[in-house]
Amino acid sequence: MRRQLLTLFILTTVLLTACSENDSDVVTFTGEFQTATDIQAGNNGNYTFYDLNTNSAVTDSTSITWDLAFTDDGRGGLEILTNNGTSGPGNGGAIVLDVDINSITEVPNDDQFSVDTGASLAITSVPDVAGSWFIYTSQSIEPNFAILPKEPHTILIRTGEGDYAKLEIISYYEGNPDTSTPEFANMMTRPAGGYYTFNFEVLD
Amino acid sequence: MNYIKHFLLGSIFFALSTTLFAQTGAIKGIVQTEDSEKISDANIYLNESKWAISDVNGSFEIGAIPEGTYTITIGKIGYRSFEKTIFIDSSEVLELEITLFPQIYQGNTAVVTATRSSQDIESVPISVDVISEEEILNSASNSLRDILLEQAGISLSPGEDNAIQIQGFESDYTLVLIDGQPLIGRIRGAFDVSRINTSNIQQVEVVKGPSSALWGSDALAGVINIITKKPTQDFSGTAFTEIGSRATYNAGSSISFNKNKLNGSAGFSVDGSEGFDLSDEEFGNNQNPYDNFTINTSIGYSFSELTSVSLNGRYFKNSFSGQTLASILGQNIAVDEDGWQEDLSFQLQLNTSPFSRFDTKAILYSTRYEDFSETIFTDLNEDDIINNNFQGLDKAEIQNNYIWLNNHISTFGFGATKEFVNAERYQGKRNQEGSFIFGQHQFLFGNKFNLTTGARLDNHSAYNSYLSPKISAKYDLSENLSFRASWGKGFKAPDLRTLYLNFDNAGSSYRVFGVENIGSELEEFESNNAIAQYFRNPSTLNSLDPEYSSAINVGLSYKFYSDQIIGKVNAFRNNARNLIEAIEVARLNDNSGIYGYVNINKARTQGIEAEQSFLLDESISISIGYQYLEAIELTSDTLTVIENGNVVRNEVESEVPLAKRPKHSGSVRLIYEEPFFGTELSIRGILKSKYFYNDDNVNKKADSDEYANAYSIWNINIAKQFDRGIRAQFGVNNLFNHTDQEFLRYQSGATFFTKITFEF
Repeated sequence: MRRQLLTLFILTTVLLTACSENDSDVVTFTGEFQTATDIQAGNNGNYTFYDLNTNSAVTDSTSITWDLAFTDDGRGGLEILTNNGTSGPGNGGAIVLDVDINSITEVPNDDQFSVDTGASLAITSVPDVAGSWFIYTSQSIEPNFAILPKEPHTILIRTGEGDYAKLEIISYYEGNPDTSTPEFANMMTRPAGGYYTFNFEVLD
Repeated sequence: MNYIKHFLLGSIFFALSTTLFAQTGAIKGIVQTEDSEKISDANIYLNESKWAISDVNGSFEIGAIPEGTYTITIGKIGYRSFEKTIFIDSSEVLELEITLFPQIYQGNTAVVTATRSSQDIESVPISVDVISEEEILNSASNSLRDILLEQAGISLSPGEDNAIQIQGFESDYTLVLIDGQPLIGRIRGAFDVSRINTSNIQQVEVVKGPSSALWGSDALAGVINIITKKPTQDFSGTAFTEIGSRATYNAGSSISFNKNKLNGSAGFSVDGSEGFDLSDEEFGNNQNPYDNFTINTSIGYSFSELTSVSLNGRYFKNSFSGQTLASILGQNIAVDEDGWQEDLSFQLQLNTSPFSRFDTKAILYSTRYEDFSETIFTDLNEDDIINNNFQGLDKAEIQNNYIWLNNHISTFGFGATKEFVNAERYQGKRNQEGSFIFGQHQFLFGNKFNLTTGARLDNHSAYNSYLSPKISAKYDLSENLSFRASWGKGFKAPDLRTLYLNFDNAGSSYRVFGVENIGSELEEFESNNAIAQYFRNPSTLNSLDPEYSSAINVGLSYKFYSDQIIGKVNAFRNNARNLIEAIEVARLNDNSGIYGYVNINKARTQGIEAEQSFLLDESISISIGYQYLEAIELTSDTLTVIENGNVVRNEVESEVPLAKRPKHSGSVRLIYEEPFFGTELSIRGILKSKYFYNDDNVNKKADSDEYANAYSIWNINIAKQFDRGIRAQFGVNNLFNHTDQEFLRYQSGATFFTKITFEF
């Protein structure tokens, strides 16, 4: 009896402590993903604006509805903007992590999110450095000159409206092709780049 | 001088001891073959404490021996050692007549690659694999490529044409020598071993593990030394012709003479095929049609027993033609691509022995290599694309050997090299100069223990100087069992690409510069305010260190049942550092990347090699080879993770398996001399386990869908030796027609051939 009381006491304490943490900004992902398929990036300096809450492209770049904006020059020069700082009026931000998307259950402290500035983007365009989500294979790795998402990686996003989302880019190429085939390795038969397929979950 | 002093002292002591005390005995003897040919330079040991060497008449003498029972051991390269228990009476001279018998199965295998002087393969402290002339003859291989592939520890790099791997390292890290001199003309670091026709090969010596202490740059994973045939008979000649499917041909002829102090040889060979194409869907051939042409000549003159001079020349030409895709105005158009490669070399060598136990060798070596390819746009208003690359190496070296009275051998040498390369992609002509000095001492403790130490210092104009040491030892545990161990360092100088490359293609989104160019290029971009971001400090990009490795090899070799079972096992571990890789060092405002070369990577390979041959009876012999290999690249990564709600970056060192290296490789060779028709059947197999092919998703792991299948290739042939030196061979290479367009692009399907050889 005494023992059970003690257990109850400990449980309550733990729950209370956990709840008090939840009171700040610790919320929990459930692992139910949505998928966006072949979202074509804008080119020639144009952007494709995307709203994760509705899982659709939007046109108004001046609003806080959009969360991500994609552009691509077709030569490996890609950019993904978040709605904040120099990029938009929103409350956005991002963190790129080298961990599996399923291992992320909680959102980190708000001050840990990066924002877009004139000098750098929250989601960096530089491949294969700390804090980038992709690798550019160049000429030394096969398939050559390909943009491949790092495995694992997770992009934590604060949306334009200030919600949180976690996102994993599955493919940069049209039709989410198998990148291990000779067809992909051959530059003549490789599908076009600048088409994003990604899984994500938004916490409302 | 020292020798004379020793001799005098010895004589005086001998005289004193025999006359004054008269309590010692002596032995006197002659060493000869069963045909009564005298054997000089045989080592005679008495209980491992007293020794002598037989002179040109085969005779030897040992004096001042206290009365007692002794074991006398007599050894000589190529002969079975002789051992006998004798009793020596005081004041008596025991006279002996000793007959040495040739070693039957390992007969006369002297190797030079292990120690830089010709020594019995069983006595050197480093394990040497020898591919004999007989093995080449049995396999009917046309090119060095085919014969190397039948060795268990050597793999064809699956992604490259005719490049080989040793102990898990790419072709870039293996030095290829012909009669001890380096062959030049590598393509993207890889040496094309199909450039060497087998017709002039006496034997191929393969030393695995770092060997830079004797051979300098590139001997990081090992050395392949091709020993050419030397004229030995008064007059001899050979002619052969071979034809096969896929329009394969191989023919040649050579003559040689050795008479009255003058010797010489001349020969040529031609080979080629119409190539092959495994897939109609993919554009282009797997191998284009090609023709090879080789000429070998040599002339030598012996002034005396002690002094000789020789001049060797070699010329090789390969020409090929094929098609490639060119992108013109957004359309892919098939265009012709033709080309050739050529190499030429001369080696002038003077050998002399100015005084007893000392010999010296002076070598002048000069070689040139050129390749050329042309993409031809017929009927199109486009300029043909021409690629031309011309390289040369001139080298002078002197090597001295001194055999001490106690049979220790000292080797000392030095030399200088001049190299140049002339190619558009290296912006014209570039010159380099180098010099080197090396020394080695072989200690012999009794006749069971051999300890060899050596080192070499290379100075070079294009990279920082490098010292490579090596120490190796051999101990005979018993007559049948020897233990070998070695530790050594190897290095590879930065190659032409990493020094001089200037890849600045307007159409592509990246540029690559060698270390000699990158500083000025970055300055120019900087002055135009074109650089958006540096990923590396630009001041660190102007020089490279040699890539280097250190390795341990430990092994046992054994022979039982009168040499009917012979084998060896070797374990190795090789740590490579400073490996050079192209990385993105800066990014321009237009988002294009600038790549430079840095010493960044580390790798580790380790494994076990084993070889075993059985002679079941006089007519069947079986050899089995096996290699277990682990090859890992060590990379340092920064991982961004969340800890306690904060983003943190952790430095982690990760081990990435190196791709395209089977864990298990094997080779099988069976030779059966059947008695009924007098034919010889030869079956050879190459077996590879499934292997990690490529990290397609670049997650630095070998995922289960990134493996290529296990495979085996079997070659078979039947030979019959007729009278008058005529030999006929018929066979099939790749008997079971195993091909794989995706993972084994350079393996052709089944190829039939028939070959006739005539020796006179």
